[in-house]
Amino acid sequence: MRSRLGPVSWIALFLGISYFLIPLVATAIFSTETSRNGHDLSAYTAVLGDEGFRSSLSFSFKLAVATIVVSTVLMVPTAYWVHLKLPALRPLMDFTTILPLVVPPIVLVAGFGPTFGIDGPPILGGQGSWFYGEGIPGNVPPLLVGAYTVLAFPYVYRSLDSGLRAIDLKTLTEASQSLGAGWVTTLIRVIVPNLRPAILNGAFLTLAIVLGEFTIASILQYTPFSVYISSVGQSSGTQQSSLTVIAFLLTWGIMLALLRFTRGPGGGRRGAPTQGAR
Amino acid sequence: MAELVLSGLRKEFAGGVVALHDLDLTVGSGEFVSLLGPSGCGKTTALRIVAGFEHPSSGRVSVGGVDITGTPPNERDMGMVFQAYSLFPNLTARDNVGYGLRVRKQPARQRNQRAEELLDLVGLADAAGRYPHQLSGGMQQRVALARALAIEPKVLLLDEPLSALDAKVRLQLREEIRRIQQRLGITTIFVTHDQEEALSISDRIAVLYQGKIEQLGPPAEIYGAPATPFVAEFVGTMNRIEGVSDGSGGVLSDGGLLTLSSAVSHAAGRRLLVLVRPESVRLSAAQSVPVPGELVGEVASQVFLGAVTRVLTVVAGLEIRADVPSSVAATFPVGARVRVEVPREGTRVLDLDA
Ligand SMILES: Nc1ncnc2c1ncn2[C@@H]1O[C@H](COP(=O)(O)OP(=O)(O)O)[C@@H](O)[C@H]1O
Ligand SMILES: [Mg+2]
Repeated sequence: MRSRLGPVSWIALFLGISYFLIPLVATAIFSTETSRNGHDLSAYTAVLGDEGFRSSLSFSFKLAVATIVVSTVLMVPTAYWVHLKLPALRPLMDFTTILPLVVPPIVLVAGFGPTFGIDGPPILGGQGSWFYGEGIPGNVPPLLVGAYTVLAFPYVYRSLDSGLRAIDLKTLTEASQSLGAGWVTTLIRVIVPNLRPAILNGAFLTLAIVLGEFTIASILQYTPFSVYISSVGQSSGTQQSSLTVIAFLLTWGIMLALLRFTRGPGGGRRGAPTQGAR
Repeated sequence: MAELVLSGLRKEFAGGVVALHDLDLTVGSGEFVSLLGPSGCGKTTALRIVAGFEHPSSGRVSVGGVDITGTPPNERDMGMVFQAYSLFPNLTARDNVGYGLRVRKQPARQRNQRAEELLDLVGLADAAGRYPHQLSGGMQQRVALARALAIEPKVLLLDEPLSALDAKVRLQLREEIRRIQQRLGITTIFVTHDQEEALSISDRIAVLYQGKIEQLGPPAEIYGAPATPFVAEFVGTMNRIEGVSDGSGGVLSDGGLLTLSSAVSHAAGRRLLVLVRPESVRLSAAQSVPVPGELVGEVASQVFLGAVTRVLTVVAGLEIRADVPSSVAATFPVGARVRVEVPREGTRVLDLDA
């Protein structure tokens, strides 16, 4: 059946697209403006040549990767276990996933201070400057990764939740066990491969959240990409706009790469959910 | 191979549902035993306890004389084929079959070779490289069987593996399962609610009802000599005629007097249940003058079943079904008066007052 769009739909579609595109196009145009009313790419060259650009961007990506690893390692087994053994807890999990969305980041940060102490977590002796990233490969602060894991939790869990609903978890688990596999083997060899699209989806959402997060990082005085963009804006509007455009393109580039990765040869179809016997 | 013994198995689920009542069953080494019963009678529960997925409330399970009641499922060496399609969607047929060997850390070459041998055994040598979604339901269950056999299990457990398949594939695959089972001589429990399936492939059948074994025996015995009214009803089609013993071989039923040698041993006044298969009931044209001691009824309907036609007769309000060769079915049109004979010898009688 072909659905034909009526005039109202066209107008709605046009308004929707404009809503997203106009600011973006305006930003892109503004980013090329010069003080003499001309257009060039000087803002881009200035930004790309800045040491702060590279360090903040790489810091953001390290944070994103660390957050993705931590949240995946935490959430995949948890979601699996809840679905398999504690289905009664699912409503509670659903409720819990809303908490990070309703508690404002500023409140989260206020909680981190007393909890972990300003000089590192008291339960770890109070001298935990490592908590802020010292002595950690890449200086990735566990404090920030922890905070971002909390922020990403709703998205990661929900993504896994729908992935788990799509496969016959109980039968696959029992088949694996009857063939001699323990929990860990089953998780790695059966569950994770069949959850790949859901895991990647969660990873992408996490990446987007971490790249865009500003409040917590700035209060804790870190300079990831978002904080860097904001600080550049205080001296140069065009440079800030060029950074926004770069960030936008980067995010889209990564998303497309991920989509290719999940759909690519041996990707999507192989991870197709089991057909039930019904 | 190994003998499997279930002793005093009882399973009570949270909420008070008692799925199994003190179940005792010994499956001999290399024997094929079916658990047959209606939905909800506890078949799956029994099988899952053997596999280790459920823990019995009381009772033991042992294999080859070793108690495995507390052994986790992944250490039991049991091959299991599930009702639902259970192949790992991310693995090819070959890798599915090789999974158990991979878990056992067999080198890839050996593993693949063994997997291909087993796929050959189930007739799927060509499909080794295909993914589950590229296989039909019947093929998936064959791969599942090969996968269960790959680990050379001590016991093979099948939970209604054919119920999701088309009638034709179902018939073919059940014969194949039996052939492979006999060839490998593997101790097997096969769960089904389909009496024909159980009758056709088992060494012995355990008929299960409400968590208890009603009767355990070879197919011919289950079919020919049902021990309880339930078994009689559940396995095959059975005419059930209630009556009262006259103490000398006569059973007075609603339809008239039946004379049966098996009724002689029942004292006068006992309530008896006469069980007779449609294929044992004889029909003939009724004499115009009724002969005392004969049952005479009227044909109410006919159902064509292929080689035979099932004729429903009503004898003084009592329904009796009889199978006649389809070639002579026209002799007994609907409405015709017929003489209905229940064989004097070999007809089973159960004492309802016992
Ligand atoms: N996990 C469970 N919790 C509670 N009751 C169950 C559970 N599994 C099965 N039962 C109950 O136990 C009885 C036997 O079930 P089952 O063994 O699945 O029967 P079958 O396989 O013969 O159809 C049924 O009444 C069923 O509702
Ligand atoms: Mg069942």
